[in-house]
Amino acid sequence: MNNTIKIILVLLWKDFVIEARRALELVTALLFSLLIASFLGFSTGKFSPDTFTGLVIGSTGIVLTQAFIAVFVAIMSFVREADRGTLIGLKLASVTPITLYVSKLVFTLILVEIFTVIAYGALIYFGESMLEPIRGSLIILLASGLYLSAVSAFASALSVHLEARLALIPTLILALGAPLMQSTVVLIVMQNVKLAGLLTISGLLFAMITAWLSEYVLE
Amino acid sequence: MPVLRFENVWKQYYGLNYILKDINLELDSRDVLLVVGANGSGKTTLLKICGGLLAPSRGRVLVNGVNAREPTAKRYIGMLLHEPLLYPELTVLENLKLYAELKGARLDDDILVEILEMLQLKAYMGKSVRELSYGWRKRVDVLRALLGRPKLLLLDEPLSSLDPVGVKALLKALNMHIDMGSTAILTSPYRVEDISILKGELREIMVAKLDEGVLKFE
Repeated sequence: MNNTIKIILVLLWKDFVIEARRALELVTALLFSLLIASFLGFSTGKFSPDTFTGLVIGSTGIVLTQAFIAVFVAIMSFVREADRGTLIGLKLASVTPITLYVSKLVFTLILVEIFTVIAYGALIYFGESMLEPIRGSLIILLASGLYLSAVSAFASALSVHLEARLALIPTLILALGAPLMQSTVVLIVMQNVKLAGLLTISGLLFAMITAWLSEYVLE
Repeated sequence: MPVLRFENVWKQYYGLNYILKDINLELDSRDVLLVVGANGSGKTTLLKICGGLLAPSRGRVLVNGVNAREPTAKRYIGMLLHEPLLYPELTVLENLKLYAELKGARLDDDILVEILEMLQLKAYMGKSVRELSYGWRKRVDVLRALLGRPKLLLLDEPLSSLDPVGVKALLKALNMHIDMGSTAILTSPYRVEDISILKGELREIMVAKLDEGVLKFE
């Protein structure tokens, strides 16, 4: 177990160093998220802070922004490893599919959550509709981020052996993530933070199931 | 126990003709096999099956008694393919450190240090791989393949992209590993000059030709 954790940490280090050195890609993805969130903020800021409509637009928009982030990170994940051939290198270095999958899942989770916090910050800065329930909305978004990260990692792993991945990845993420995304919007609008726990549990369950499936998907 | 064992191995792609037909093979410690064949004859497929990267359609492959598809079998294997398996954003040293850590190998291994000197890579350790030409990346990849003193070395057309210095270093490294008990399989297109270089430099090499899916020893 200790060795597995060590390998996951080594792989995580590798992924973050690579992303830091590919600053343009990371900055572009961040800029995209900021622009969408800012646009949403400006749009929903036209409504008064208590308006239901503003809250629905804002929450739907930020959830979709999260989905975009999940798509970006999916392309940085397994897809890039496969395109370079380094996925073979990792297999030859005795890294098991499940270890590799968990490291990519954690990598995806960290990036998705960081981007979510930054985008949400832009949304509440430029808009007023989501100003009041900041903490609650953020907790719900972070909980949904776990599920979306698992969906993103899984979509990336699935598309490794397929050619139509540019279309497949966003479609898979939206298809697998749609029920969760709908629930997230409803929870934010209703400000039901308690049920964020359910989102977290479903994210963990999905992560565990896809980790188990990774042995077949990545072989 | 043989280092490598092929038991009735067949390989077919997508319902097309069999590219490998009923391959039976046993290689012991210090055996060196050169597999020659035309383009598309299945040399790389054979090598990838040895390395557990592809599953046979029928039969099985054992490396040191372990099914080649198992992650544990990879600990015994060092593989060199056409394309270097390196991360362009990382430096040469970072790439080697990464693979060494993943494989549980040591970078300060005497043999590895000697090969590093032969390949003249010392001056390039701090350079990012993306700054290197293809030939230099291939040299780094040779070092990657030799991490952990693998018992089974699989080299896909190793002479095709290395210059004379690189070839000399690679063959010397191969001999060192064979002397330590490793087994090697190399592939080559049916080029007379490649075969004569390999026969001249490697001790007691066996040659087999892959023709229409069948492996025939010469």
